Amino acid sequence: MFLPLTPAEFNVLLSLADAQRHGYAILLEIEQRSPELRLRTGTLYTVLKRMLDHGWVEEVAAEKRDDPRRRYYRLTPLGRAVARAEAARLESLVAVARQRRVLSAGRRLTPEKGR
Amino acid sequence: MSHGSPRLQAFVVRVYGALLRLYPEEFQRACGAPMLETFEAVCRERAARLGTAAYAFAALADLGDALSCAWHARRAPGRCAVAKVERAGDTRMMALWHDSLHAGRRLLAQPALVTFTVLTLGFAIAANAALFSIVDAVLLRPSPFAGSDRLVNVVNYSPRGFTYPGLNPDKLREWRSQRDIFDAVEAYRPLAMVVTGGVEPQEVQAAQMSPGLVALLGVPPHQGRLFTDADTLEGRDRVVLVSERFWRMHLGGEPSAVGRPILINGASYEVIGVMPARFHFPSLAQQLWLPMDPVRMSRSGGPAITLARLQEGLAIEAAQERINSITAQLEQAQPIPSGWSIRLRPDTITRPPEQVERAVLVLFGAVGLVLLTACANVANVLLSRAVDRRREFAIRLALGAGRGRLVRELGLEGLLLGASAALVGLAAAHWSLETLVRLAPASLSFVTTTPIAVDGRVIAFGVLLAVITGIVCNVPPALRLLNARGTEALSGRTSSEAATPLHRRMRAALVVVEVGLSVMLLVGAALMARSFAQLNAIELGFDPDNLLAVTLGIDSHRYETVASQVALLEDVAAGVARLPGVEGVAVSSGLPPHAGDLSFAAAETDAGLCGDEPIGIVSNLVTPAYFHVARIALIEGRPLREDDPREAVVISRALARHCRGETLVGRRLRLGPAAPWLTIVGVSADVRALGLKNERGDLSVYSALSAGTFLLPNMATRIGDSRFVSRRLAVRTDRPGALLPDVKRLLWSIDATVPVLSAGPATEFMADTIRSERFMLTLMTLFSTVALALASAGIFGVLAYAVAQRTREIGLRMALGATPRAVLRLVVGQGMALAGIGVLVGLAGAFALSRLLASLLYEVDPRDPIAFAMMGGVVLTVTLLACAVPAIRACRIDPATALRHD
Repeated sequence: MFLPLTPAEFNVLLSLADAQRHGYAILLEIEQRSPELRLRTGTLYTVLKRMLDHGWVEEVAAEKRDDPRRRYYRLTPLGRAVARAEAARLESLVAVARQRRVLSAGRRLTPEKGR
Repeated sequence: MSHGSPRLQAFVVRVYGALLRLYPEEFQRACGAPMLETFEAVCRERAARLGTAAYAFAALADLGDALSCAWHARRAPGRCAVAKVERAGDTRMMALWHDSLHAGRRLLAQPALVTFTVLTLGFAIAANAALFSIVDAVLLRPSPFAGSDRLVNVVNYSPRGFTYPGLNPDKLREWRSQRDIFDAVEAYRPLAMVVTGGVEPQEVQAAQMSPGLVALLGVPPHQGRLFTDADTLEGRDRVVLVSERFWRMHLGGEPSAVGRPILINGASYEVIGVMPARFHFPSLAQQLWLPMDPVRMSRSGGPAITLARLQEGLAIEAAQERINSITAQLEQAQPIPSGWSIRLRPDTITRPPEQVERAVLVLFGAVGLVLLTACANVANVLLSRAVDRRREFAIRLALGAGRGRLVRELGLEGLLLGASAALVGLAAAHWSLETLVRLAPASLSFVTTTPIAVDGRVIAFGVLLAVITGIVCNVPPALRLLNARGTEALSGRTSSEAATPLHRRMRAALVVVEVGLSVMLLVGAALMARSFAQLNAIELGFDPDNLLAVTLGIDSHRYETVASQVALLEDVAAGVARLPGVEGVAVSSGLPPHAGDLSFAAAETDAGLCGDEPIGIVSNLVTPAYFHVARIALIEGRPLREDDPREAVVISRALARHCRGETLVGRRLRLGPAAPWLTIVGVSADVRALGLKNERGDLSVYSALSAGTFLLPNMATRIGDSRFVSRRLAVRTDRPGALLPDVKRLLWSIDATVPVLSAGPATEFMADTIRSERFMLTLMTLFSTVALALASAGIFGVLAYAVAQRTREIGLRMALGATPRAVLRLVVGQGMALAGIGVLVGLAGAFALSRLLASLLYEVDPRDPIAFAMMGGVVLTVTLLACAVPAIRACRIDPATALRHD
């Protein structure tokens, strides 16, 4: 019922998959990974707010030494499940693409983005 | 360009914070604070990476994003809103691109409309961008001087408000000891010096400064070092700081120039440093700076100006109170004549004087009005064209196109128009700005850190303005199109009923606004014109027409005695007198507007003191022919003669009045208790010796050239070891400009080493003193003319359109017996009704705002009824003419064809 996710939503979920992060860190990470998305602060927080409402993401207590306004976010189990579902959906699509020779089977088409 | 200025950053963050309040309550509670924090982090990172213009654009994009997200958040709080928000950019971009192409194609299909719009807006944008660059350079850029808001002048005020900047060594010590008021007290004095050693001797403006002053101003040298206290010691003080321009032009711009000697006033000075290009003190003219011990400085030469810095956190009013309370103590050290006070004034060198700020802001406001007028005109035109598209829009709306999409389309059109206008406008601004700056008086290109040019900030401003303008101009058409009554539009009936009341009212309102704005501008221009006329009508006291003024520098090392100087000058004068076309020649130490020497003294006749305080007196050493050549009338007595004793003087009428002179001829006068007694042989008319606006020049004393400085011992000349003395040749001839090369040739045939420091017709020098008024007037006239032209075009357009719309009705009237005159009355009446309302609105606006001009006007009431009435009349007349063509066309309507017209 939630799928497909928009690219922004999925990227934010991915970003929080391996660590809890605050807003700016999420922006930086996504910019490194998928710069074509051009995620801006307003959009990011709209997405985050929605995810908070759905219960995919939750706030974490901030470190003492930070700016008091800074909030850290992390995935909830539900959120992780949603991300997994979307990734699975994309994987199955990629499998179809490989089957129909849109994508060469087994070989990476795009070079690894190294920074 | 410096990296994103902190002020811009703070501003952007503030705006973002304000935008956050548009979000729903719950959103703000949950995410408001972290959102702002993240944005600040983004801004910080950007500021370190980008230049100001790029930063501004990126910030704009972010603000736009925040706005659109806020809108979505409000519209669809719970929904996933998959469709709209953040598609990966591709599809949305493509749609945008297609819409833009479509909009562009549609615009290209209407070349006349587009040309008109782009040119009109382009011109208005050009003017605004040009003025913005001035505003930016003068007002917005930070002052190059550190802590300039704490810098003050310490000035002596006489009971009558006369200021005497004289610095006194004891006073200086005293002020420096007042650590609770000032944390630094320094002094400076501007003066002119002659630099030799080049092709020909050149007079260069310089300033002496106490060594701490340069450090106080907080500008580090471009090369070399600043002054230290050691540089003021006797014998070690032949050091000089040069300006960047001087360094490039005379020293080749090489780093090795530091340490080299240059010849100033015949003495060798070592260049110890080069000041950066943005350092101008105390004005744009100064190119050399010399150190001087303020104590010694105040004993010789003219008065020095005190520049002090208030203690951190001390307001000027509080400092003034402290000064007042210790005045009694100061009086013991140095008695101050009763009624005098010491006052602190915010320094006007390191900040633009209020006059300049006011002038620049007035001009900026005026171009803003012109832009609004242009916008109104363009909007009107677009509005009338919009009618053609009603059908198309009605169909699309009926078929389910989102209003948003249509709005976006119109917005894109506006954007494209705006962008083109920006291109045209900024190019025009760039080309015209150079001319503008050249024509502008020096006072308006004030202490600017950056040259006035179309740079990144101006471009950003221009683009922003153009984009907003383009979009705004499309708003009335948009409202019109989107409110189209569906069925009526679809039915295809276009013409006569097409102008709905809303449409008519909008157009009428726009025209009224245009007329009102042009009235306001015209009133402003009229007031300035009257002020300028008043200035020009000032009685000069002498006749500058056909008078050539040549300033020579006499080297006192070659002509050591006054007698030898006088002999040289008389030789030159005699030679010039023999030139063809010369009616008369005189020599003087001053010729208006360069008065001679200004000194402060208490005048005294043999009847007693003339006043209780020293006054500023202009002393002029002249040859007897001076009064005749300059055409200065003698009111009593006679001019000076060759055989007069050296005590003989002529005084001006104002001075005679000050000395309560019934007949003063034959009486004695002295200027100061230590001065010798002078005999008054004549009273002359008052002359504006210091320039048109300065009444102080009226107090003058003329004595013989040959008398030298005998009579006026406290006359301020140059610094103690000054070498060059300037003297003026006044030549009455009917071709002043053409005569100059002959004069120079003659001069150099007598002595080839005498420099000509300046030369030109006297009228030019006098006109220079009111250059800023002339400049402001020219600009205001230009703006108001343009606005009036636009308003007339607006009225013309409205009426032409109305006539076209009402062709059927007019035909009907004529068929039913209306005479052409009645039709004329109908059309003109409609037009003049609009104009009349516009004029009333404009006059009211001018009445409210003209107060802002008050400080720029010379003896003209900002609510001068004549100016208001005249300009109202002018606008009504012009608009009447604009009504003429449509009205005449209306008369010529053939009822038969009109009735067949749909």
